[in-house]
Amino acid sequence: MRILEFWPALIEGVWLTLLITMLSFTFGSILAIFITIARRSRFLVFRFLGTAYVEVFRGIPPLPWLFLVYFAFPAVGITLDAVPTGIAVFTIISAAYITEIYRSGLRAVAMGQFEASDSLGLSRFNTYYWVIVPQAIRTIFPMAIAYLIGLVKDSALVSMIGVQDITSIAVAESRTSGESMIVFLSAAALYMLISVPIGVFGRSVEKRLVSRLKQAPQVVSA
Amino acid sequence: MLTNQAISQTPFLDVNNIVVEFGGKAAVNGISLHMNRGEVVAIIGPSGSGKSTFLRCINHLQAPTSGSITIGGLTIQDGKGKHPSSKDLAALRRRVGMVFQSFNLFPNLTAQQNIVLAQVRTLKRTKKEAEERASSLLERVGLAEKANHLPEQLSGGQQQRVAIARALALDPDVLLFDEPTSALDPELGAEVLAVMREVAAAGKTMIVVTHEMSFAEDVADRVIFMADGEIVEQGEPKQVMRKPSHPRTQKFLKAVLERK
Repeated sequence: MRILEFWPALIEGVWLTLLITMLSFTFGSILAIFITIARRSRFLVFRFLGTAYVEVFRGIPPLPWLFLVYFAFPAVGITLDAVPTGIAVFTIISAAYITEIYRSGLRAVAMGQFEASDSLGLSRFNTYYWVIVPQAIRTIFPMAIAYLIGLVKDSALVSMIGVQDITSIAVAESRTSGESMIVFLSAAALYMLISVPIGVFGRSVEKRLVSRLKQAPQVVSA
Repeated sequence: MLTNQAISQTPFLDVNNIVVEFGGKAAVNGISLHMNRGEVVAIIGPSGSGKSTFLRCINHLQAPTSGSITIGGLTIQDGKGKHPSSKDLAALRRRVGMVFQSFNLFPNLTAQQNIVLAQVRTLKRTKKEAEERASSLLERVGLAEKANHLPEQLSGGQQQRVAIARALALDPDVLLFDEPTSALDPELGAEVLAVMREVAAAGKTMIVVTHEMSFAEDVADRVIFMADGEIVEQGEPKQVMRKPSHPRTQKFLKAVLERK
């Protein structure tokens, strides 16, 4: 079975694809919290910077970013290996998209919730922490999962700067073995093996988010 | 320095010359309101008369273009580029509670948790203290057995009663009601009005924007009729509602009575 010859190599690539996607998504989600706070600031400067960030990093495709950071940044003294470049670029881009996801999640929460919180003298932090975010999360979560699945696939672009991810290894293996059909179908299957479980996991958490509401958790503690 | 006598003569709540402009047009055009402790004021008037906007200024959900609010030794001043600090706003909102037309309960929290949250977070009561208070308030509004229900599992009338309990839990000096029964059918509205009557009878200072004429007449100590951002007429409920002196009030009340 020739298929067995290149599968170990492809599976090596799965780890890098997973590493780059998961780290970028995690860091991007955290960075997006700060950008969201900036965008909701009282100060125009912060709001402007937050919005500018989103527009800039959403408006330029990942590939030029990867090339810019990997090939051009060394000229200004910033040298990153291929994998860190991939993580950095996709973190920065994810943050822009996830900020937009947070925005629509927060917008889905009724204005009356903010007003009620204000009328009860809740601080801004308490308002978001206890009232707004628990409601927004129900909108945010499914969109974030959809974005994550997209990111798994977009991460194939890192093969262009030489990261040995699934796509990169598939290209190499197809050249050496001459079995392009089987190699690339295998690579496609591996991507699905990553994204389908994410989708299933996403739906099950989504269900729990809704039913957790029904069960009424003890979330208020002194 | 205020003398004791001066303190007793100072109104409990003193709202002065509130103006709210939207795009250069005045929605509220210089309204003042002075209330004694325990007084119940009903504000009636046609839609768009600025009554809700005025009410929302009293806890600064709506920032007035200009005007001042004094309550319990705290003065909040707006206008001429001045805006209250967030510390003063927090202090104002500890003194003024609000009940909304659309209830605005927190859907992610149970009835009990809705009442506990701000007690713990705003007033720093202990969880135990806050829960005891919540339980007794839920009992007071007739919903003791619904403590662990989520808002979506309650009827509109029940939700509004929880919302009243939530506001009462912070022991506000003044409780504002913004058309509390307008989103309810008459039967559910009656439940809410019954609770409001009880709260009024217990001596809470209340300002109620309402279309419930019988509530205004029976419960309020004073009725204010507003139109076009101004107070047209105010006085004892019987006098304003039975023998209104201003043609605008007469026209409004006639329309209301004919609808019945």
